[in-house]
Amino acid sequence: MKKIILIIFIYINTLLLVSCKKREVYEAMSFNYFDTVSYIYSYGEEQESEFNNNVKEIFKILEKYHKLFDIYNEYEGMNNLRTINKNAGKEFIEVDKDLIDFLVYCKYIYEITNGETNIMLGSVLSIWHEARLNKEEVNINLLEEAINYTDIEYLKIDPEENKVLISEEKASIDVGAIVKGYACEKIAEYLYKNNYTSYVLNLGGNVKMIGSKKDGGMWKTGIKDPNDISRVKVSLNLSNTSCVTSGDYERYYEIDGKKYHHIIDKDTLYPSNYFSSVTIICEDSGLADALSTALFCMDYNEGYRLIKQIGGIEVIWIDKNNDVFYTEGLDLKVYE
Amino acid sequence: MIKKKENIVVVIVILVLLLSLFIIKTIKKEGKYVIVRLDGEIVNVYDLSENGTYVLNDGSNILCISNYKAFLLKATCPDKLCVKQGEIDEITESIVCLPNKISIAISNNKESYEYKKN
Repeated sequence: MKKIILIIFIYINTLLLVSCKKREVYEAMSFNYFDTVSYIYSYGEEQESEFNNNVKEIFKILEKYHKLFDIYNEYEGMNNLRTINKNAGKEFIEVDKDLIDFLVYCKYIYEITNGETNIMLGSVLSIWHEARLNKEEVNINLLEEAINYTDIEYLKIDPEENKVLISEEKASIDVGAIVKGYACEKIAEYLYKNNYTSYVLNLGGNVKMIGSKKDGGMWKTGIKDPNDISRVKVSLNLSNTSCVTSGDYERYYEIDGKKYHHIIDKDTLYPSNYFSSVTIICEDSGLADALSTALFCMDYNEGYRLIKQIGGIEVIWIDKNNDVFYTEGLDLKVYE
Repeated sequence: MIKKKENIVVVIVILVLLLSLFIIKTIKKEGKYVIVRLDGEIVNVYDLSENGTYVLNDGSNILCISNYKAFLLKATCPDKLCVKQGEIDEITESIVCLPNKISIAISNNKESYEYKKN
């Protein structure tokens, strides 16, 4: 008799466990920042009202960086990158310390990537922006002229006075290669500081995982198949790291059936052709973002050498034949 | 003799309970919903178990729910990337149409569904 009672007791407990499914994740999103879509997911223990407060704070951080790093618009009461670009060759501009910190970080990125990721490529990239907007061919002569004004040394930073000058009039800053990753890191800093340890951010494909799932498990993320974006080509299990993918299959324009995507190779001055997709996995989101752009414009061997030199970086390449290559330290699955 | 009988009863009870547990698990459907957002705000919530075709945002995108899957059938955006993204049916999966600021996502958040129904 006792046995039967015990069994029924276990059964009822199991039934309760099975029926009560708590909502796993809170989600928020926005279209307002960096010309892309941003997602915030919490897998933590906090109440929804606390999550909504966090989201408000995170959006404030995103808005601040969105305005500071904007090279197309200026905002009342502040100097930003557009202000600095407009005053190239003229005078030092005083800016918010957060912008100084970012530019110093960009110079560090230039050094660590051996010059592959260079925020002073603005003179070349602006020609491509214009062409993409108007859906027209670029003028190769203009590009060949513009490349002469991309020296990182033109960027003069005075960290004491919080002032910045571009010393060459025809040079300009373009931070598209780093900005989403950097913003993700700043949001992560805020979350860590406030002891939130089970969040996932996704800023236009720039994924930052803060901590791991409540039970310590990893999240599963994926890389789309460049030939068929309705399916996943590679899935991987990650936690406590960043995962950034650069690809040519979303942001592009076509003229007479020829595709021109948005990642320009500084050596050819044209959209690069080595890969359809490059994914970088490493802790620092800013570095991941910078390296995904850099490796997209390098052949496999060059890219491999660079990341080995830096250390702590894992990579997944998908080439033009849809073949997948990857470094040794990843828990992933490739779908044919 | 009595012990044997009791053991048989115990085994039968266990089997019956396991069977009922199995039946309950398979019959009970986990409620999934399709959350439609325009510029970040929830504008509509649909039940993933109900087939239907819906016009979103005055026609910028057409949402189709069929066979427990959601996808965008048509869109006015120039590149139709949102349409090419195919179907979604798992929680946290989503499809975005950037030019029209439309997003559809799968969620099991019943509260927001009930709120929208009213």
